[in-house]
Amino acid sequence: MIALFVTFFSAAVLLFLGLNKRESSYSLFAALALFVSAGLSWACSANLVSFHGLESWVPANMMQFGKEQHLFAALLAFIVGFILLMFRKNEVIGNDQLGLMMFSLCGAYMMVSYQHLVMLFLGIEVLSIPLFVLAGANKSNLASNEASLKYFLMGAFSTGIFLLGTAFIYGGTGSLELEMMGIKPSFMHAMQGMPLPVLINAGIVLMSVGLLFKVAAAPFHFWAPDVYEGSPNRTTLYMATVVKIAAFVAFYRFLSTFGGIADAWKGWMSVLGAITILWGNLAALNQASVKRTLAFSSIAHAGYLVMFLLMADGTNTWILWFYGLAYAMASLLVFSIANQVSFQGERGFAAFDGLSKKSPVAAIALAVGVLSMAGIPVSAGFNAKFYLFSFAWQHMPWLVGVGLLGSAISVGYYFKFFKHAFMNQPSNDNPVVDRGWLMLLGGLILLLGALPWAVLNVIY
Amino acid sequence: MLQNLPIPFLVLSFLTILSALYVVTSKNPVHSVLALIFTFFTISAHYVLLNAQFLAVVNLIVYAGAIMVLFLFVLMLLNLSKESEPVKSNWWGIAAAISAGSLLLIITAAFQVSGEAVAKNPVEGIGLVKALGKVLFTRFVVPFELTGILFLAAMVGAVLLGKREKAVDALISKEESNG
Repeated sequence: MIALFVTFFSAAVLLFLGLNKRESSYSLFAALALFVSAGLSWACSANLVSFHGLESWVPANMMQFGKEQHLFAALLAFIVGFILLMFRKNEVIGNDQLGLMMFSLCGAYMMVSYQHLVMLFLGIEVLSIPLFVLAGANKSNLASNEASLKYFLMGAFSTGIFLLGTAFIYGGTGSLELEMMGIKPSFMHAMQGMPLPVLINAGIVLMSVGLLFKVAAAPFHFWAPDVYEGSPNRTTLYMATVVKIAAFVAFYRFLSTFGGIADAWKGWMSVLGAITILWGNLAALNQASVKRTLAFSSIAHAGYLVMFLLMADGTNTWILWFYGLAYAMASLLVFSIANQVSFQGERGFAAFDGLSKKSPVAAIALAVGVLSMAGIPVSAGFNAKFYLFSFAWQHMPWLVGVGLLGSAISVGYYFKFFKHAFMNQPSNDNPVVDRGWLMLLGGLILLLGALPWAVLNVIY
Repeated sequence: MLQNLPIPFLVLSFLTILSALYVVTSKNPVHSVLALIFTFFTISAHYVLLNAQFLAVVNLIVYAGAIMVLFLFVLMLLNLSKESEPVKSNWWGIAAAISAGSLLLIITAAFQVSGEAVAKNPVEGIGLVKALGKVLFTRFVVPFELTGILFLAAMVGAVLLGKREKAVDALISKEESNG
């Protein structure tokens, strides 16, 4: 709650900062506000501070503020703060765009702490509507316009399907609160082996369609490559990390309510997970554009996380937290280097040519980021995948097999980054700035890879 | 079964289905849109029959008012004609009809099975503005306040997209000079 408060009010202040013309200060102010929100949320989760007066204003059946919710809010604010820091040098970002990104983050906070489906719906809308605009923020670029329109139309349809599912769930259980849905008579019957009310079943399927669209899992991923490629880089990064993490947390909380009747949805959802993993990884092999490759790679990562949904019982959210952190840091590294070397409009891998000669630090940071995405040992990504797969092994061995196969395929396209960065001659002289931040992120990834528990014990 | 239903409901349903069919069968897009407006009016009348007056009014304002005017504007601007229509194969229509039809079948079956669960717990005056306002400002006051963020974001977004930019102006004038 404190994160929502700080983020929203600093975004409102940011809109008024437009009155003074010092544009370089906007990003710094926004990043500072986000780091403050992240720090305060984390302090709340560790019981260092408490904002009980503020939180008691919200009824417990609307939003919940436990330890996990604070930790996820801290993670999301931390990621967005880093996005704004890493992307502030190449181009001036207007205060309106920064404000919109922070409003959208407020929606993500609602999605991680909702207790009532009305709050979930509102969170999804607050998250998406600024994104429709941000995807089309490069108004003179036709690809950006296309991305905005596609995301808007697809998003509107998926929200409609999601709402229809909500209505069915209400019809089947008589409640929209997560706590109440689980104890309604029709639901208890289903848990004791009596036939599940069809309305609940249909509701779960339809709501899942809406949420699977948001995380870009197959077969609802067709919008993702075009939208990711057309949007400005920072928006793409925001969609690939914050939107995905928030939607997965929301999905997890929803499905763990229905954990007692998991047979109703486990079967088809595991098949969707397997299709997503294979489709994402195989399609990424053939892409010439860097952003499209990363878009398909993020689809594949959504597939791995579907595995996590299948274990939804409300106790192992730390896996998602750790996976989200590892994936977000690797994405931040790769996207910000790609943004710097190709900001004149090159889209292919040639932009990375000879990076090791131009800037060895950036090349090593890129290598760390890509290795972490692929899940090679001594990187955060390896540990994240290791925890995920070893927990999923007890539930779904065959799906873990598909996941391992997908990871093996993924090395094929992640290797392209190495080939261009280390083996080719430089073809352009775009400078790489912000080496300090790149080194910090790369170091964090290695630290999380080498000593995951030391870090997790401090934070979590 | 039919004789148990009230006559206004039967007449309204007949009109709704008839006008909805005309929306999809009519060749002229403007006629389609006008028939769609008529469909929205009859659906609003259904809401009134169900004693949900607030929904009826909102349905009229939002759909018949805002959205349909938008549709008409787009139709007038697009200047549709036979030549500019993209040629689509019939398979798309057949596939769409099959998938929409199966969805209709499944949903109807779902309601058939669990009809009583839906009809239970009627609350007195639930569709009236008074009852709705009371709930909105007591139990649902937090979502109501947080909707403010949504509206603020929508306003900022509209301004951001509508703002004049030199690069866009240059692009438009280039397009115009190309014909």
